[in-house]
Amino acid sequence: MSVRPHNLESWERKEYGQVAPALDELRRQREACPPAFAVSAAAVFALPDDEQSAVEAHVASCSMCRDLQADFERLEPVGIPARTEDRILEEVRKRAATKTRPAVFGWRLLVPASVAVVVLVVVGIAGNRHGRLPAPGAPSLPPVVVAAPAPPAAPAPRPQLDKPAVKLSMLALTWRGASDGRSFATDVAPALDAFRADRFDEAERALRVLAPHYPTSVEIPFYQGVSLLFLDRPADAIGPLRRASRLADELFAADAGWYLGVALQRAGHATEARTRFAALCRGAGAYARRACEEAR
Amino acid sequence: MQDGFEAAYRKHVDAVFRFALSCVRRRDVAEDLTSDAFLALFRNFDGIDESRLPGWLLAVVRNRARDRWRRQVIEQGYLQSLTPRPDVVRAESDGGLLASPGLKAIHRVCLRLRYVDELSRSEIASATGLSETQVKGHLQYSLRLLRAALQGQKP
Repeated sequence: MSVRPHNLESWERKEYGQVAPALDELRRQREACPPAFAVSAAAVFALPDDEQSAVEAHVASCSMCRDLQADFERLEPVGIPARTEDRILEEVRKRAATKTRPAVFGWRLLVPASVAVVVLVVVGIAGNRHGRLPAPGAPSLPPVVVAAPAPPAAPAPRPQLDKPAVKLSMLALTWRGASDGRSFATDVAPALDAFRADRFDEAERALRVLAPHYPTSVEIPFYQGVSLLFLDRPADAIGPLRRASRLADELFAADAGWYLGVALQRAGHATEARTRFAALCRGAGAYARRACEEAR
Repeated sequence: MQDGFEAAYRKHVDAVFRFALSCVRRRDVAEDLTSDAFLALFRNFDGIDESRLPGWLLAVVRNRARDRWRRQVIEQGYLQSLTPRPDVVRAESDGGLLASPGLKAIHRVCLRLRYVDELSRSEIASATGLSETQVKGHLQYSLRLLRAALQGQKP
């Protein structure tokens, strides 16, 4: 356990080098310490009982962790930026409104109308022989607002695996990440072609190769994870789907949450799967009903 | 109810956010916990005596933080890393290096997070509420001070 040279930023290499032995010794002494954020959490009794007891017992015998708690306490109070304050208030109101709307309106109310029109575009990749996508808004590809998959009528003994529609955000369609001017949509087209044609092995391989080049794309880990589920590799699907969940915008949030829940359930992580399903169940999204059934 | 809720939100949001940051040491998660707490307040606003605020909100944050910890323990095997190993626990350490005069609380926190917990600069910023530039400044100062202290010089 050490801050290896490649983890050091260029500005800190020189200074660190001169005190490295002392810092290495400090780190060696602290190998038994809980992570700093656990030490902080314990100070406000924010850990589950077992962990709280374990960390408290450690802190009682470790002056450095006691000092750390005191130092955290002494830090200048962090104010919440005005913009963040307004955003959270708006979010609370939206979430409150979502829950109280009649369920019959479903997921559409989660997406502001203006966003829905712009973002919810079904991409006809398979129909494009050259794998190139027309520019957003081109006459040959009118935007189509799609409904998310309808919840099934009957609960399945384990979550049934349905294939999600292929969709790309408008951001993805217009994103030009590579220096040669290739677009994200062009790069991802062959992989999504394979996905649409149920060639999941090919899709998964292609998406895995693309992933490092588009680290903030939600589409790549999402369709990679779902491909792995169809390949009956749920344990391998968890990582990509967790990434997709973290990156998901409104367009993908419910899909990513649902398929992550399915992967966890099928990989034997029933407790966390139930937690995921319970979160979806509390919302009014496309998977809410199925999630409620799975969360029971 | 809307006006009353917004007034309560504006009055308590700073304290709730600060408490949430103490619980999780991640700005983004602290914002989520703050949102969760005020959503709970919104839904129960008519039944809550305002004199119970912000304690009621802090209790929601604490409970949500605990739930999150439980999930993390399951997900990532954190329990093992949380439980001190008896053979290497030091009964009372001297804290020597970090006790160097001239280091303030913020410097010790940055040093510990960076070189013991091995967090990145952005993670330290998220944990402390500082900007990444401020974190860099504190680390530079701290390293210089430690070097000088080890060499018996002034920084």
